[in-house]
Amino acid sequence: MMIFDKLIEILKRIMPQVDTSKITKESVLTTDVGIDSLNLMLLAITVEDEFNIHFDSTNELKTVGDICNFVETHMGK
Amino acid sequence: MSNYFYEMLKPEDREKLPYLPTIVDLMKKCVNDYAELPAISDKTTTYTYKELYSRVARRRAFLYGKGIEKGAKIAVMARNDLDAMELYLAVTTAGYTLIMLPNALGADALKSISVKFELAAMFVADEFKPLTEGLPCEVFAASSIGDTEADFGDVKKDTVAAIYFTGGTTGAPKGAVLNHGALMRGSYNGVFRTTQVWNNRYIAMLPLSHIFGSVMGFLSCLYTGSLIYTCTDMKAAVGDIPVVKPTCLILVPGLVEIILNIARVKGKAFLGDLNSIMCGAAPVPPRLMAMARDYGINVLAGYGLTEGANLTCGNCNTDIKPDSMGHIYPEQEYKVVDGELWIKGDNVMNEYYKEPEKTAEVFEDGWFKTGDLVHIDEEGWVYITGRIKNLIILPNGENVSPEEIEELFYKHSEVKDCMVREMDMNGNTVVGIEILPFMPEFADCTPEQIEEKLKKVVDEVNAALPPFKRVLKLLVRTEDFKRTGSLKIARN
Repeated sequence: MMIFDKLIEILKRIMPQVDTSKITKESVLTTDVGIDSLNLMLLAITVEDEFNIHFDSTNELKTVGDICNFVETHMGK
Repeated sequence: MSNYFYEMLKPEDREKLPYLPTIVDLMKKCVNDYAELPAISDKTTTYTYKELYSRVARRRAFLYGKGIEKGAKIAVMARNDLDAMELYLAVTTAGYTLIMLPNALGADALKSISVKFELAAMFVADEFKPLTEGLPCEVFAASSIGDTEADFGDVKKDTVAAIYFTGGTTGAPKGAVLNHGALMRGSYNGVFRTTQVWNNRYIAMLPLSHIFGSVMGFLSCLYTGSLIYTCTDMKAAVGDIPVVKPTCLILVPGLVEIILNIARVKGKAFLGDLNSIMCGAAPVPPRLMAMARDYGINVLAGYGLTEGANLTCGNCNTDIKPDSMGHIYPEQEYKVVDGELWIKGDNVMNEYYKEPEKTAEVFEDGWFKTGDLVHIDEEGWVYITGRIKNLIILPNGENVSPEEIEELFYKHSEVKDCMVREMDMNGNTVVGIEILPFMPEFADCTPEQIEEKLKKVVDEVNAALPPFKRVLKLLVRTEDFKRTGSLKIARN
């Protein structure tokens, strides 16, 4: 499964109130997806578990695409 | 005066936990009663209460050695690490006035603060050192400590202990001046609970610069000889929950939700030995209490203000009264005036530092006017019914002043009028803004283009704000706001 699709699945699971139908890689996490800093932490922890990676900081994650790129770069390391 | 709280502790426990009027008295009690118990730890290094007592005394020696005059203001800019915890105790017990600085402050805000609050010195963790260039006060490394021990300063109940920022401002904020007696009243109140009193382990997740984080999340923990783990990174600290196994956590509602959602994903074992959560600084949704109860965790709620040293009322029966903020704490005088809660007591601040007008606005005949509307039933249960003061309180406990943010928007010619208010985004309370566009700036623009241009204005304003105060939702108005008789925007 593509990383993006997996991410959408995670979002549906941990934040069921979020409407994932309109999310694209360009979607801004705060204003488009509606994730504040605390929920970003929840997402980061879940993504870390799912892909066996580690985010040093969530500060640079602005869009959904940023998360996908990070996962792609760090997966399997 | 309610027995609600007193009866929570067994008589022999109450005897061991008298009210202490100063942080000096607290430190003496801790070293006498808990000497060999672990006090603070960053998982690598752990200090017992005896070692903490000695280290704080060496920190005082460092302070005295710098010749800073008695009562001077000394700030600390650090995360919730061992240095910050020791400095909190050292500065206050040396008789200086402590200012714990929020980590999100930039260099400009630090400059305004150091001038407004006449800082004599600042202790800074290495990562924040670059922000302190050009500050008009001495700057020391947060790790600074003396080789010998020095005695306590001349500290009494009414000696000023600390100044806490409040009001949600983004410039040089209002500072609530709290004396030792006030902080100790707040932390003493926090001792009363129906859940585990002794042998607790905590992680200090809420910043020491926040009254809830330092009173309930630090001083109250020391009162009962607990072990407090540091927290320098929230994500890592949450990940530490199954490792250090806290028995109790002091959290804002937003964090409770996150931790319970993580438990939902990772399984109940993630929560380890957690059996209670003290929750406050923002309204606590009853659904969170129910969610926690499913995991065997008791969420106790409380209400208070920075100006009241944290705790005015507390609810240790959220199972039967989930909507209530609980009972008023002993020694807290209170009355309800036109629906508004007014309080008086040794927990209330002296003043807003060097702001006589703003201080006069919130005091009347010695009573502090909270700005919160309450209903208290015949059994003494307190319910918050609304808010007079114009403040957004976010689920992470942060306060946002709408007017401060609106002022930033008014600098943009595209904005004719605007109102910052709470908005819902996917079930979360966020900072939102309604903007009435100044149409001459949008000649020949479609509604979509107007929205796009205003989104750019929001981005520009947000760039100047700390992340937790940023506007996350925009509503473009096509009609004027409802107005009051004096043509101001009607906020309610």
